[in-house]
Amino acid sequence: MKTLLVIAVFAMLFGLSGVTPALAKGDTLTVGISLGIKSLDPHTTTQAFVHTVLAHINETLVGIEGDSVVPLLAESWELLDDKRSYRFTLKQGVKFHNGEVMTADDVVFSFKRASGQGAAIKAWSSYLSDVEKVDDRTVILRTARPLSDAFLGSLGHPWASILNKKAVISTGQDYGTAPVGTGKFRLRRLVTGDRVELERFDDYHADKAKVKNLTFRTFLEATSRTIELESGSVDVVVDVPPVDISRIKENPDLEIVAVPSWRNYHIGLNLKKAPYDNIKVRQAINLAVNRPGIVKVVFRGYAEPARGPVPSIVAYSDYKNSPDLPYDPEKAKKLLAEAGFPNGFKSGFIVPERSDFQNIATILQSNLRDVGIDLKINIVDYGNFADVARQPDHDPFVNNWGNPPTSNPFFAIDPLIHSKFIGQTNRFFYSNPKVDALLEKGVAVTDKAEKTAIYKEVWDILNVDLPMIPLLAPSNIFGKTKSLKGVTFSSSLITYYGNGYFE
Amino acid sequence: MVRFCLRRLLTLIPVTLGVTFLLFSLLYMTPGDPALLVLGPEATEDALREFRREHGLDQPFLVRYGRFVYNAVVHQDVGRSYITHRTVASEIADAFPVTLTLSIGAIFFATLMGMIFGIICAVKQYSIFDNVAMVFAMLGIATPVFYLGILLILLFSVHLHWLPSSGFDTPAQRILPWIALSSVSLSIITRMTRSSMLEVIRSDYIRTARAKGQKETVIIVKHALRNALIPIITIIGIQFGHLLGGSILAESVFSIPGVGRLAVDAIKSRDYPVVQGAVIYLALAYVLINLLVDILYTWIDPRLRTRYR
Amino acid sequence: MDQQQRENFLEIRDLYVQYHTDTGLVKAVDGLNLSLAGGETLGLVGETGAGKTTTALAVMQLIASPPGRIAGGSIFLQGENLLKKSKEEQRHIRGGKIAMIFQDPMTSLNPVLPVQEQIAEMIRLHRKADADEVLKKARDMLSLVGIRPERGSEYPHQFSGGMKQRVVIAIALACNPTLLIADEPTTALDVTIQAQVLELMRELRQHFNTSTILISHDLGVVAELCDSVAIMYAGRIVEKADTKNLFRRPLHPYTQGLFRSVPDLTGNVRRLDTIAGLPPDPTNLPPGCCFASRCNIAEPDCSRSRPSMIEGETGHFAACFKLGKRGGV
Repeated sequence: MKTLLVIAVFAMLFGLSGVTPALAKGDTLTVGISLGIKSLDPHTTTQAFVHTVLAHINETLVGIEGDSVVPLLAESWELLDDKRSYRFTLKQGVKFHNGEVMTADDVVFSFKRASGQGAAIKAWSSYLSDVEKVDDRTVILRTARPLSDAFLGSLGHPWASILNKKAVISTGQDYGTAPVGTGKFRLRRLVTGDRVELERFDDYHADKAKVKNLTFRTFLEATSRTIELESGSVDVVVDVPPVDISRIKENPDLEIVAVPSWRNYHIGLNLKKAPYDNIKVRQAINLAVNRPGIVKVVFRGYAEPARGPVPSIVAYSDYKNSPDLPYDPEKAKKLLAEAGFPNGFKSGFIVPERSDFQNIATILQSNLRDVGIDLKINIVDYGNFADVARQPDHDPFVNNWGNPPTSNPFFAIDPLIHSKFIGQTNRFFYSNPKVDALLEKGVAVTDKAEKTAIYKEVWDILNVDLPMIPLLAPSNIFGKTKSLKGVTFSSSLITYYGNGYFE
Repeated sequence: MVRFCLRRLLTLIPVTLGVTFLLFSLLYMTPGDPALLVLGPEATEDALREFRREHGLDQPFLVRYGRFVYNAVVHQDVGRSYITHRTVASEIADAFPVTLTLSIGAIFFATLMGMIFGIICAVKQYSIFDNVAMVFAMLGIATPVFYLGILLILLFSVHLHWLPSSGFDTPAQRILPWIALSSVSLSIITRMTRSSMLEVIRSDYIRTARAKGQKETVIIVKHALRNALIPIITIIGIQFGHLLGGSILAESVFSIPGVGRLAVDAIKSRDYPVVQGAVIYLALAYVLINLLVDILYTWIDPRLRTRYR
Repeated sequence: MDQQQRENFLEIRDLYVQYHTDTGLVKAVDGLNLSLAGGETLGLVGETGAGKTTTALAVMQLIASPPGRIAGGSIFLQGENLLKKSKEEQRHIRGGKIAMIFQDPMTSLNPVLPVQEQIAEMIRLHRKADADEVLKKARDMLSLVGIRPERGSEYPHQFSGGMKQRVVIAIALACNPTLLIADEPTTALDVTIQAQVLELMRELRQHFNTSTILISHDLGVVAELCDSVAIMYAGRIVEKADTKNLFRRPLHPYTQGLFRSVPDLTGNVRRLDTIAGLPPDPTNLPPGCCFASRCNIAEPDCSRSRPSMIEGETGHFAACFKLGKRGGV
């Protein structure tokens, strides 16, 4: 009797939560990601790693290749005379994973849902003022004002995924666990928080994927991710911590891929709070920060020190070839004295609870102490940070602006410095009517040369006004097995693995 | 006996009410706006307002609490996650089997080995085995789970390649997490078994049993152990309840999607409904386990039975 | 049994039992000689710490091995030396041939087992019988000791002190042992219950004809039940006689002192008679007579060497030099 009980317990333990059939190696591409995925509904999340997975299941009207926008579900488009409407001609014969054919109804439904559904993606969907079906293969998308390529580019982001109307309506609230898209992969199995298993969609409307299975596995601990890569059970890991880089490099079967990103790490200042309202103080801080030092120590060299207000990847900027920003503590001290602080001053400093911010803050604290500014560091958990940073009298903080859907400055810089965002994402309380006007013009014009000139003016003003002190743009660091080819690792937070294959 | 069980199950009501009220209050007082967290820093003011309206976050505290209780009792609806929009019940239902498997495996291992070691220590008090076991027990309690977990991974996965380092599907993947999680319970159960047995072994009825000419092993198991069980079972119950609450540390190290991670992620992102659901689940688990332990008591010790006749 | 066997049913020779403690080597039993005839009830009397229980435990081979140890001597039961038996054999003897009743009935029974099971366990250890027979026999034993057999499935806490002791007796006698050692069986009970239990023991003694060693510090109990008495002091026997003779005329000064200290209910006594002094420290026993320091007729020679048992009158022995010199004190 007792033995039976023991056997029963063991059987239950080993039987619970079914045994996964083993996937053959050459057929499966496994990616290790750092957070758990619970829902694959593109309209309910702003988290980049979810969008990464979504980019393989769903598709958008347009695709992004390098700096240009290319046809995907839309064959062609044209800008209408009012300069704020785009007419899209849809590709024919595109099948969804459930066999339905894509029509204009699906497009209209998807965008209406994106605009109406909850509030998660409002930051991107709110620019869409209207979507109209012309006929079964033609749709018009309208924005409230001209946004030219900024808008077009954002349409390539998973928030703008084209969903199947029928599927969404029939699954209702649980759509997040049973997504249906047009992408190269369909969902086979979602184990919430643990993994997403995708398999090749053989009715894809263009070139099929080369691998049969694509799996995203979650590992919370960076060390676990590296270990899994080394043991071969994972082919790519995203977000390799600097400490593991040399280990991966030394491994003969693995390699590191580092791609510059547009994550803008900066010190945010409160222009309403003394002494940060004094431009000389801001300039002093700008000179006192040792950017190369931070890049070396915190990021092991895998970051680009800021040379201007935005990372060099951001469109219509030209900081790739600029000289480094000067590091001059002596001059900083002089400026501080001129501003009325010959002996420096004390200040609080808000640091969100994440190891990279904390490491950067440590160095900043030391840099600023060298010029007499004494920072008292206040570490807050991410939940509080957004709240705290909105207070009208908040202390300066270190933060990262890094989730725009494209490299267009409309998303990379507007929310930070346009005055209409004061109290929201413009935490610096920066209000400059000239900059506002330039930004509004910059996004509306279509001529590239004109845009470049307009934005250059913006960058120059920002370099002087310094509402925020740009620090650096870390590279996106991936670890991968050498036998994996065909994947273009992206500067954004979304990399597409669908074209990968093994050699 | 049935009446006894029913009465104890009724205590679930005040316990759950108390726990949820306390929780609601704490969440209410905790800084951090769920709207901001869920929608991200790029969110517009309108978006935030709409989110708050949608989820009743702009209502006064008592209204929110009242509505929550009403929904839970009348509609069996404890809400939906702010993030995934799935019902809280299904979120927990996903994570629970994992945590359950993890907990049962760990407690089973801890109980089996713990009692065996504890009995040996008691019977051979002051021997080398006893001394070594007590040192290990102390180490087991003192070593943080995540540290032990990482050590195990380093040894068995990275160096020896005997076992996988993460995940929870196959039995092989479960072994290291079971061992890491059971370490504290194992140590505590060993010590408790040892001290309880030591106390019991000195009893007069053990001497009587020896005077009957009974074999020493039978004396240990039939006479001593049964009498020593009550404090041991209490400890096992507490440990099991603790494990069922989910161990965020072990779950992080081994990448296991259990209740611990669910709860901690929900707290970090201020996903209130999921936090509430997780806490209610935990309260339920403890009450039920306590009930089970109490029933076990009466089964073991007849002196506790006459009351419930 | 023939006369010879009856005479030497149990014979303890030169028994030494010692305990190693932090304060030194405790000589609990220090050269003990004792014999018991078949069917006889011997009372073993002495004050607390004299070594009575230790002697009983030695016979039962229940001395806790660290820190205690049988340092020398032999114990012959029906001609066989128990001390030379293997552990396995010892186990069979315990309960089967020699049974022991301990002092405190409240704690002698296992609280989580029904009383009939505790009796049944004894039976199963020493007799071959199937489950039904064992159960029946257990219940019979309960009747025998005056407990309704239907109560067999109840637990010890459901019985009173006196009834618990009856159960203990039932357990001890379940396998009809040839020797029963009762260590102060009534000390923990109140007087009326004591009488009942003693009555029971008397009946059972007749029924089973078991040889018995009754340990007590209560002379009254000894007078009631025992055929002969041995007085123990500081780990040795200092006097042995038939009960009648001992009570009529105690020979050893210690025994005399004991009898003197029994309160006289007839007279008007203001102060109790006591024996001056304290028993010797068992880690530091004197070389001579162990009672010498408290004895009112002691002489210097008494402290020099140990007295052996001298027959003062027929069958009545005492370990006193004075006896030998004058043939009676």
